[in-house]
Amino acid sequence: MICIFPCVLYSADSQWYTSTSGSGLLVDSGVCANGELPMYSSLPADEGSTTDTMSHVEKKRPGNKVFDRWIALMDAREYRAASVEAERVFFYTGERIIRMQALLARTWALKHLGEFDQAFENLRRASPRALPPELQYRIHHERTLLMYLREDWEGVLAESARLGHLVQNPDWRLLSGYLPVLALMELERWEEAGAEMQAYLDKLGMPASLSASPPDRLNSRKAALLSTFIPGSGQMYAGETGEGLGSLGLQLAALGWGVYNVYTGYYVTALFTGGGLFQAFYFGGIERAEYHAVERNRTESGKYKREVTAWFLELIEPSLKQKRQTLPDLPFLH
Amino acid sequence: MSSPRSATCSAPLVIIAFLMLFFSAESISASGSERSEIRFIRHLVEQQFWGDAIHAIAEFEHEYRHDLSRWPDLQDSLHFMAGWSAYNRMMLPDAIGRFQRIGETHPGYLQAAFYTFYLRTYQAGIQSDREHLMAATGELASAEFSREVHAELQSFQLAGMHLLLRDFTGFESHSEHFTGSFFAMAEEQQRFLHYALELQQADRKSPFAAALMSAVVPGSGKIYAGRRGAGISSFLQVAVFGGIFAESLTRAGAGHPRTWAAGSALGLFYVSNIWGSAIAVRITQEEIYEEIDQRILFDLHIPLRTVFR
Repeated sequence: MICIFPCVLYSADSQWYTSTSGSGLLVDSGVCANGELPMYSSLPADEGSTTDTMSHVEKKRPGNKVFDRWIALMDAREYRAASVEAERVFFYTGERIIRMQALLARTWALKHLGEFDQAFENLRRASPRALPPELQYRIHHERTLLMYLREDWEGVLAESARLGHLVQNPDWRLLSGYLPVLALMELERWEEAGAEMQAYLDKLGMPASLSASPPDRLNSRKAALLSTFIPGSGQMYAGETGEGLGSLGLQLAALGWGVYNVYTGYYVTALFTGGGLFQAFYFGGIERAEYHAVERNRTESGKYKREVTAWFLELIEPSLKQKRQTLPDLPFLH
Repeated sequence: MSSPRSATCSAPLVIIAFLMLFFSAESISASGSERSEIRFIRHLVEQQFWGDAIHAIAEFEHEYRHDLSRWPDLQDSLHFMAGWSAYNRMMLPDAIGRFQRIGETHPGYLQAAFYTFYLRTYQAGIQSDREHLMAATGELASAEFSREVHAELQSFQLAGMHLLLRDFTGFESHSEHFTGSFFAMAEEQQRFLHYALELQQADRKSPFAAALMSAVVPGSGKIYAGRRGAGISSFLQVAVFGGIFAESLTRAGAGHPRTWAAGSALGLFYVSNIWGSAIAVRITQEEIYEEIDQRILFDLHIPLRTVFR
């Protein structure tokens, strides 16, 4: 997993399950504090549902407390068992809304097992159509988040755009609005990321703005050309002054040895030792210059990404906490 | 391991068909909530939720540990599903352990037996564990099959095993039963015959001959070993240092340090060219063996998937 702050993303939506009695878990999972489902239980089951409404699970757990065991397992951090339990709820329950919640519940368990692909595939079974808006939102958000965790940055952008269209509540849209910013950062589309970040901060009502500027990109082709015409200069351009000077020295020494041998009449030695060594150092120097430029770009970009992302997430976290309170009974992120 | 993973693509059809057979109402003596839970486990396997299926089966076995002995068919079916799930999760020892516990009366016994053989072969094959390879051979060799396709599959699997063991006589004793009439394995049978030839040719190359050739014409031993680029490179290195040495000898004389240095370099390159040629034969052989072993293991797997579809 290369993405920068999966732990931050985790912590953002994992606190809910760590409280056994608080509303966090229960609300976040779509289940109320007593394990019942009053919020949705009044809604009719889908037409054409063939599964018994008094299912195996419901018979085992009277009072409609279908998520009780799943909650306990998540609290105990037994995520595999929790995944099975959520699937069991999905399998036995006829009511579509509970089934959708079960899919979400299994997704969370799989996410904690680090099985992001399976979690994503699992959530693909969920159809947000005609669901309560907060549940719809959660499904869209979770899909986007999982795309991020699977390092599908373009997918995050596409799914975020869909979420923007499909989720009406502007506060909820804001709760997921940080994901496209992070995806753009990962894609190193700095200008777009900066603009998106600024727009997001403005929407959150935060006056802060990003002061750090993106790293200047070195031109690897330029580095190679420099070393082609002035040996060692390409490495110096890429920030490797010592290596550049060393390369220059070695090339001069090899050339000098070749010239000396020509001068003393040892033409074969001049060609194959002086000439051979010189060409090896010369072409090697060009390659190294290009490599250092590319490597430096990668390092600097990574550093910038980490710093900016950390700053951004730290900045928005308190505001997001407040916004999460606007999610009725289902605040996904705490 | 590319082959078991690729099995997941066709797994749904195989599994759905197979499990429908296993879990028909008649095949299970359990009732009530146990039956519901088994339906759920079947659902997990059909959906290819392998990790969840393994967990749910273990949970079920634990919960009904005192009753399971009364339901041998169910026990076998659970072993089959757990084995299949473990196989798809690449938990090969677990898969083997489960498949081996399936009773002979169970409809999945034959499939499990072939898969056990293959997985044991695979494990031993990638570790070049000759002893375990031979142990796996013994089990399948003693089995008798009533259907022709299974008997041919048996010959095919055993022939592959003997190829992995480099036992060409054993290979021929099984490959002579290849009829080529079963679509499921006809191509693979042809490939096995080619592999046998390739392996025998690789076996015939001698490190001594390679060293001798490189002593006469630098680099030629490496070309003989199958490494043309390395052979040409060796020839040029020796030629260059030979040229430098000759120049020093003619211009500076035999006693000059320059001549000694050039001569030493030439000697070093010449000797290492001879030594390298002998080693090249061994390395090339190992590479060929490894590549062909991978192909054999892959080809052993494909007919299993087709025959038991």
